[in-house]
Amino acid sequence: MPEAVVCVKPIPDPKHWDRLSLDPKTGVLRREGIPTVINPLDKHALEIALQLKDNFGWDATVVSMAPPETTQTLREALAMGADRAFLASDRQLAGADTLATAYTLAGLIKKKAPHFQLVLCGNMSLDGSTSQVAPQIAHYLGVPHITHVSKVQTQDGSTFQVTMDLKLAQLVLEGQGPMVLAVTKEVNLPRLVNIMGILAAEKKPLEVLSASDLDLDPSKVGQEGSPTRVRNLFMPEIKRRREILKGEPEEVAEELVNRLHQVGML
Amino acid sequence: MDFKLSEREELLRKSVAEFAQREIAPLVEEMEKTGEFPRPLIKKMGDIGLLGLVTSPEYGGNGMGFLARAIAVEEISKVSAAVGIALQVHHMACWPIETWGTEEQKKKYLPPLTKGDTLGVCSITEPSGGSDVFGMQTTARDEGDHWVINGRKCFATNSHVSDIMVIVARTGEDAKGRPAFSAFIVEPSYEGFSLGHEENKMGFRGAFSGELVFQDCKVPKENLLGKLGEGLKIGLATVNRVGRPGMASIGVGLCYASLEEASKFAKERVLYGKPISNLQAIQFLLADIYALAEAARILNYRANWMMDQGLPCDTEMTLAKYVATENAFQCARMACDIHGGYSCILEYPVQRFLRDAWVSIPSGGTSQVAKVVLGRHVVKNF
Amino acid sequence: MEGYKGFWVFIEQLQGRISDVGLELLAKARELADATNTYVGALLLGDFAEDKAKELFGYGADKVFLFSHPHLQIYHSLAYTKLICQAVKAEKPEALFMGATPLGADLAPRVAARLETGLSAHCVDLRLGEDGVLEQIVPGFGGAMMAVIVCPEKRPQMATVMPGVFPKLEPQERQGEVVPMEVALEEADLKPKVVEFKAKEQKTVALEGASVVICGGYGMGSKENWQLLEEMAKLLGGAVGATRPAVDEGWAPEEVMIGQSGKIVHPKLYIGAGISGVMHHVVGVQDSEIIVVINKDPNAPFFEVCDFGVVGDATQVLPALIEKLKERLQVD
Repeated sequence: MPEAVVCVKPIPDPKHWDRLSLDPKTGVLRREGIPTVINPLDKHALEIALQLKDNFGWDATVVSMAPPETTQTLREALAMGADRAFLASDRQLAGADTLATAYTLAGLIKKKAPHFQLVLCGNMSLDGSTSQVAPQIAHYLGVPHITHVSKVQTQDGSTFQVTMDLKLAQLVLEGQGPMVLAVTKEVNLPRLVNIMGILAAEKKPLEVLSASDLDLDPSKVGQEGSPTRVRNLFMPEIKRRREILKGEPEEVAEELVNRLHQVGML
Repeated sequence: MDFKLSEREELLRKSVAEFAQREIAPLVEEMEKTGEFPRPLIKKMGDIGLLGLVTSPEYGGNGMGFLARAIAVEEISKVSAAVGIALQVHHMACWPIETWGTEEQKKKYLPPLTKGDTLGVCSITEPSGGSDVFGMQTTARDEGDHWVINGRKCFATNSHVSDIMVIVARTGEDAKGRPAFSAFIVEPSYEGFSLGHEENKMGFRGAFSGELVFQDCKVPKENLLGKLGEGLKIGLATVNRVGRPGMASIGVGLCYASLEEASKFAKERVLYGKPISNLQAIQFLLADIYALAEAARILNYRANWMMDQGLPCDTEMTLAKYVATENAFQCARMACDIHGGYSCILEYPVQRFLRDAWVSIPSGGTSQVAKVVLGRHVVKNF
Repeated sequence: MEGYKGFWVFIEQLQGRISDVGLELLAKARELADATNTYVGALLLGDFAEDKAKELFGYGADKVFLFSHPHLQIYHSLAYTKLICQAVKAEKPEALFMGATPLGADLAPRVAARLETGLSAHCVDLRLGEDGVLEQIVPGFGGAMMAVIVCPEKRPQMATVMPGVFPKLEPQERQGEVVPMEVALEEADLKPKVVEFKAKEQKTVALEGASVVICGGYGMGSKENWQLLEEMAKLLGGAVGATRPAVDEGWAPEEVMIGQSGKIVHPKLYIGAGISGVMHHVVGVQDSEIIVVINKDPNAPFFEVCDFGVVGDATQVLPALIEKLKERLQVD
């Protein structure tokens, strides 16, 4: 069976981000008491895999790199319909930036799903918002990637027409696996978990692997293998600007367009 | 003692909450306006497994059990208590059919009930009263190859969206000369059956509560549920073990709905330059809502857990129902207090919680009826 | 770090038109290069003559590395990655910036991975730390948290930067050098193949999840004026919402009502036109990243919670705004 691998990231529930704080002494992010959920866009990626499973008999495998207590989020992916899940979880892997994360996930995929046809990711995680991991996984797997995917079509389950959304234009690309796709929320509406799925998920394999299980170069994983460092974190003062513009319609319109451009809204 | 819900139950809660947000929340306003149950929702509830929570897999259910049901009804009721009662009464039809039904009855009726072809009805209450079961007027007469039922049932939840109804009727007298009752499964297509008046309620708007009218209604012989004369036992067990925890779960859902709305509003509402959540007067109200909500939930989970363990739990179920529905009203009232004038505006849901909580109190037996049960229990055991 | 010189900018183009973000980054690179006595390099990939490359000198570039080939007119991630990495390996720049646009976000990570260097995403500011390392300011958790990211040991230091955060320079008379680069591509570099390129259709989107929401209130005055909102939404690829009074007037369907009993939205940009800002509406939009309010009453409570407020009649301000936006976005 062709296999789709879906990368899933557990993140603090965006509904509770107002409860995030910084430890005043250490400057470390505090997220106690905030539940962990699947990064919402990753569910759209999983939905593509599940439709390939429904329509063309594909296998759907979920992979993740996260602390061990996040297995319940993977169980949720299994309850949605994935066949199996692998979690790379190890202190050695902690503190990874996108490059080290991508290297690790690519290692996990090479080990556990080497014959994949598609690797599917959410276009970005809501917490970090980098959009970087998918192309970097593709690099380490040595396959092409397409990000900002708003549409995936296939007649036969082997050739895919993929729409990439640039801001002012769309590219439609055609290709076959193996490749990596990173999807946006426009791509589909993820199915809800049903109760039969919850019960079925309890019998599906969910394997937790340590760094040493994965044949990785230790200098390329975790904080050690991350070229970027967080120098410090700070919480921006979120205040509304309350700039009031007055004048003739043409003047204020011009002024407003300039302001919107300055704040990156155009 | 273990108060931690399992991974399965946590996932159930999350999934049902997502379902309620996606599929039910957008319907609430229309339900409030029209009082009509959104029929397409039945199939959706079936697909996700909500209708089969207390039915075994061999009859199309998932058999997750009563604690799971309590969690599910609670999460549904946080978004719509009307859908909550439709769902819980549906379970009140499924459970007696599986518990007392013949193999043929189970095979015929449970799959369509769990799949979402229809919602179930379980109806005992009559215009003459609900808790006074001996006053029941509806009769079933044995006509040899079929039964003939005459009478009326009222306040039957799901009346207008159901194809499968469990009802109790008088079938003569027992050996001691007391009225004897039996349970029947009735399909609305039977000759002599009709739907009567549909109530226009102040709460649970969008859940049908209607009259079932039997005028020489012909019911096949094989539709007797349980043995002849077991009707009261079946009816009361269903009310005690399924209906009351169902109402309790609705109450718990309403408590938490009030808690969340009250807290959200208090943090958003700015008076004298600060959110009112900074005021102790408001914090005291929030603390009380929280205390009442948690107490109700724990009582309800315990009762349902006992049911899953096969322990006797009629008293615990009644206790949970009494506390949860009364607390729901208190919580909604305090949430309204926090909202001040805004509580009177239909845009804000706290007024709906108040109306729903009020209607939840007499449903499944008033608080006074519950206290009769609880009072007797105390006198006997303490 | 020893041996690495120059701040580089990838110049994004779409069908031969250079996007602003590249020019904005040239201005920032100019500032950083002047502070450290080095040069600004621009990477221009497309189907261009040298004249086009020379235009970049005026915006701050000293050297333009020009990759010109018909195949480069349209973006191909593998081809672009290969060429950029070849140039970086040969010239060893100190830093490389790209726009945090879909194209930049597709390309930069692949380039960074091939170069095995660090990359920070969606930066809102760049500055030099006391140790000379580039500090990249990155928002996380939807802006609830900001992080200062550095890449101390690998070069080039790479960042994608949000469009609009740096102003571009007014074009100046400046001289520079165009460096023609060899473009040698194989068939595999052009996969997956592009089968269609289409300018994005301008259309409104669903309210849920829309990144731009244009909302109208009672102050819109009539169903005819409501068209202005639709036009704005199309222009910005957003959705139209309404307050309850507007819905009650029949100007908009109930499904698009925003507020306590309607939908809760959290777009990047919310524009409220002819809305006074009663609490049950405001709660539905308060998580928007930027709130713009247009209302003729200067005392409307909505101005208290806005980022940009325009005091004026929405039915007069909106047509002017639509004209200016069309100019800015170069839409006919």
